[in-house]
Amino acid sequence: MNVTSTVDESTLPTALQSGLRAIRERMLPGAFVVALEPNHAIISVGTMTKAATRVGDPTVSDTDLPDAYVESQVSIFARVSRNFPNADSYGVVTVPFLTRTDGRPIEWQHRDNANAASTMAALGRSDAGFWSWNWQGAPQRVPEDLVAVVEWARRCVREGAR
Amino acid sequence: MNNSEVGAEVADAAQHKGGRTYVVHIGALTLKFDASPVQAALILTRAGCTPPEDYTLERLKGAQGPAEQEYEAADLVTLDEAHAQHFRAVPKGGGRS
Repeated sequence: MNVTSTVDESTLPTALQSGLRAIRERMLPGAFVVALEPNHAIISVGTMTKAATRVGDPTVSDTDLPDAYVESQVSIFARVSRNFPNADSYGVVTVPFLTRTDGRPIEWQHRDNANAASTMAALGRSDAGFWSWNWQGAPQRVPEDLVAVVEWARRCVREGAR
Repeated sequence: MNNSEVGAEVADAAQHKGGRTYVVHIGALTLKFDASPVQAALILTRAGCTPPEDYTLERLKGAQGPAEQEYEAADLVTLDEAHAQHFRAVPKGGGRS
């Protein structure tokens, strides 16, 4: 899925811009803001792909998707507080909605959730999953702690496969 | 970077330092260490993950996972594999709600 941004990041709070720079320098050069909500920014944090179906070598923006999912690839978006680090971030959005091969529902993944609406509108998709995933106890002292959001979001998807 | 490039990088660094250099990839960063083992906290700190106690360091099988070993900040991490090693820093905290 090709995703582009129309968000002018220069309008975002300075701390959030610093956090985005840190993500790009240390974690994910291609990270960007996909959509804005009143209190949150939706950041693209790459994809996860099943190793068996990946074409080419893995990159920092494409980590392994557990085999416990039916889907072979998913795009991941972190819902970050616009006032980070002064307010908690909340929620991960995946496109598409993920299903387990064993049929068990993932209790904290939701279809047609309002918190995924801005992401779906930006992408022109209707098949997103919103994951109720909190930031409690995660690093949140300085703007650069936003780098943690990449693995925080990926961990959410890995946990859904357990 | 492929394995031959990493090997060349290691050999080049060793030639200049008179000893081995251990190459670690974490996120988009490539870090070099002159000794093995090193404390996980050192890898995390040099990757900008501070305080290191807020993170779990995971050694990856291959470049992007899955994880094959987890380290707390105080743990020692052996780096003396023949090739560069890949890690990820997973923040503690957060979870389903």
